[in-house]
Amino acid sequence: MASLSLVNVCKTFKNGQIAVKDFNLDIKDEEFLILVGPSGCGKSTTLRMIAGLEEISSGELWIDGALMNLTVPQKRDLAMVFQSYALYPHLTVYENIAFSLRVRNIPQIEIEERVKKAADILCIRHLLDRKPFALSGGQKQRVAIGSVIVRKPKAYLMDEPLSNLDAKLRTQMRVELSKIHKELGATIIYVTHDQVEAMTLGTKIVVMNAGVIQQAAPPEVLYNNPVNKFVAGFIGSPSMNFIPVWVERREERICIVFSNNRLFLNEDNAHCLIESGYLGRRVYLGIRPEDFHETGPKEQAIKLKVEIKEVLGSDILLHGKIGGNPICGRLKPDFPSEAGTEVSIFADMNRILLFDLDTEENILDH
Amino acid sequence: MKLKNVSRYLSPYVYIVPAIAVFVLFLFFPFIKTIYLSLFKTNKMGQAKLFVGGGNYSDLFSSASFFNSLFVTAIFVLIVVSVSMLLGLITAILCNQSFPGIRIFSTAYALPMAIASSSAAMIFKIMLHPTIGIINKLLGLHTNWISDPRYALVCVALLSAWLNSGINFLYFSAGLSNIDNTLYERASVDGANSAQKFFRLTLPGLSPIMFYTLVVNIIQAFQAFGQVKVLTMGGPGESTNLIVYSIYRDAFFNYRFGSAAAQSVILFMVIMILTLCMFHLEKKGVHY
Amino acid sequence: MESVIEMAAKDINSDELENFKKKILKKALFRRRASKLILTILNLFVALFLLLPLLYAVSIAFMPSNELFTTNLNLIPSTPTFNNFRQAMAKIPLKRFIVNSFVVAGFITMGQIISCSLAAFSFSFLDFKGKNVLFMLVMATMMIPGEATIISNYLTVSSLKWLDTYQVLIIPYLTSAMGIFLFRQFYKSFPISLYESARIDGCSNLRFIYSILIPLTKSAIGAMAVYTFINAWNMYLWPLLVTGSDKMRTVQIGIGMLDSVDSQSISMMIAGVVMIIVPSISVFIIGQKQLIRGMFSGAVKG
Repeated sequence: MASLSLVNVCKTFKNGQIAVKDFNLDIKDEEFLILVGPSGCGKSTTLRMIAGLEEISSGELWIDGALMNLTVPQKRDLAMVFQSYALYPHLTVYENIAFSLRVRNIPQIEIEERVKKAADILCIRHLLDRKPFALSGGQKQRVAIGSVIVRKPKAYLMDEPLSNLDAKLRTQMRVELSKIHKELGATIIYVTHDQVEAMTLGTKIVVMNAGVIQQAAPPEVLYNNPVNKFVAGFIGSPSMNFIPVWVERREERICIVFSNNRLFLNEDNAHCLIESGYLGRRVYLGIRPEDFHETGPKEQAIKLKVEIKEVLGSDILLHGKIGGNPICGRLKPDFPSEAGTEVSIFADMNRILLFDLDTEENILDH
Repeated sequence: MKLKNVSRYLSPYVYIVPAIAVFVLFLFFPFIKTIYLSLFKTNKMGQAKLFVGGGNYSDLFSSASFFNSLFVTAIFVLIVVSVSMLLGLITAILCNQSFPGIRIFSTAYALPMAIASSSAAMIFKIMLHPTIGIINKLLGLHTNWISDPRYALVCVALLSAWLNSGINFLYFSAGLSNIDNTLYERASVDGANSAQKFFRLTLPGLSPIMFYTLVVNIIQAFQAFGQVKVLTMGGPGESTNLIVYSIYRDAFFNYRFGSAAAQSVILFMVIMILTLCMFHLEKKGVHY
Repeated sequence: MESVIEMAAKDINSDELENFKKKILKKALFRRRASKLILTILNLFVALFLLLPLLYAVSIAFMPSNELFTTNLNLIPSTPTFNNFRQAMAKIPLKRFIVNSFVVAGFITMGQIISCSLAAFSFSFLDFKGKNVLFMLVMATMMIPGEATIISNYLTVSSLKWLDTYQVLIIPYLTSAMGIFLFRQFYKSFPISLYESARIDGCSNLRFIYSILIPLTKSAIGAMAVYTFINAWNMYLWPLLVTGSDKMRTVQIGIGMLDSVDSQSISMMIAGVVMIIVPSISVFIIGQKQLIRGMFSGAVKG
């Protein structure tokens, strides 16, 4: 396994479209790195540049201390799982898994052993004689993973490998991927648009938007302390609520005011706002649905007219609007609420985030 | 009311009548008539006069000339099919990657399919001319290609291969573009070099179209006529007396329509057996 | 964590590192460009080789016949002339042959498109007794080589006193199994509900073909037209048998009148050949895109 570095990597397509801009990242050995972002954000292009399938327009790619910019893919010693699985249709599952070993002229005995081992890890030993067309989606997926784990490459690259599976299989494969990562002690670079996948799998997550890295951090940092409104909104489901609010001083305390609601900030946050001169200005309040509570001090109460109530079983989701902004709260199922009624819910003021109205950057640095 | 029902019942047939009528009149009927004729001796007008049963066939199978014709045809088909498929494959692979001017090149490679065998034969006749032909000039030889029984068949075969290479280029190009590009991407990340990609991915990926092309090419090669007629007239000796030319000569020069019909039937049988064999082999071999 | 570059930078100074990077990138870039250049040159070479007969023919067609007879390599005419074309036109009624070929190829092309699309329509949208048997029968005709029927066909048309007419050149070729197959393959990709909803809207069968199917299958029709026209233009054995007079000869047969051992007429003959190749090649070049799209989009899939 190895470490990778990308320095000022840019990708401009022939038609002038900029896919990736100034990408700087160090990937440590044994890291499970996730590239996540909405579609078209340049995450797949970045992965393909690492694999050598896409030319790097400018910048440098280093793998284990060697400059790899123009090295052909077959000499980079990487392994990749494709979104479409890219199984060779004319080869059996066994030969598909053995392919990368065969082209390296590895002796048959060793191939046999390694293919069997990979098949055992993925529980596909009974499928080895089948051709890809006779496999289900989940089985194809396993074969695709099997054909990369037979090798010990410098890093495993995975391009949305779970996106073609149904929800149940996806959850199951997610757990297995985590297991494989631990078992192999592998460096994995994994592309997905699904933030749940990103949060559950990654040891480090890179959130991208419009070709630019927004934030690269471990999952809990992304969740608790996103650098800007984009990351805050992208991570977490249902996504964070955003409300434009006024920062004001009332009764010797700092509070935020929006459409008949008034919330007092805690000491740290108040201090932080005054320091950076936001008093009397408008900012975005960001609060996650799960940071609303059923009870609390009166000064943290928000009145919400419930429009839709979704019952999830363990929780309920209440949807409504405050000053035209859609608001969602995740509350306990026994919370008395019905669609059409007005309820009071209580915001956890230690968990709120505030963002600059123009730059959309996080004002409160925890 | 009744009339309407009848017309509704008949209308599906009305649409196929034009096609079926032509098939019946100019394919099925003459095909049966050919079989019928092959059992008779005919007069100069082609009318069946004397029933001889398998007489025409037994005459053919005891004729050295007919065996020569079969043998020459077999060699011809072998050369034409292998060379034209190879040309098609090479050109398709050359045009598979993008590079400046690819459109012009792909038109050039497919172009021979638009040229008539007779016109092409006339051009080749001049190219192979012993004194002024460009082939001899380029090679610095004075060979009389067409009048030499050693070369005549090869010349006709190469001409036919050239003509067929155009459509083969199109077949193989279509086959190549059917191979999913991500397979190549995966193969390169897997560590395969260009040669390995070609032998482990491209060739197997082409196998279904390769098979189809092979069948079409063999059938096509058996039917070569114009190039023989213009270039060699079956000669020198009988060294280029391909089966269709032999049928033509027997029927329209020697007026032995019965024998010519018998040869037509044999040609049909040979093509059919070959095709069936290949489909049988395909079921066993290439599939995915 | 230290980045790789920082680690590397410790061992060598930054200038050296920059130079080193530049060198590697330059080398790899050169290799990539060189491979593209080699591919282009290789293509140029192969294309020249394959087009040699045609280029040579064009060159000779413009060459005065006295220039042709040298032992030197004479690839390009030094004094190009149209004389050969003029002589060829004067010696044989080439204009008439070209008109004949256009008439024959045109009618065959139109006829095949009409008969094949009608039959394919019936086979794919309508239900009738014996449909499968009839379709199998049509497909079976692909197995019968034209040469296996040509003698009987000749005897038939001569007894009908059809020899040396347009209809004898056209009618036997008014349909083709391949065309029916191609169209049916295209129609199969349309849902049957397309037809059913048209019928419910009160659309007659012919109207459905005319205003819905034909516009939807333009690429198949284009492909079919190009392919059929070229084949009809290049037809040889059948016209050779059934035409006798200058009035009815098609180009491929007529041009044979220029084919003589008389060495003076070589350049004239090639000029004639060039003139009759031009139409089929033009049709091919114009219709090439259509041909490829129509013939290979749905029909031949591995």
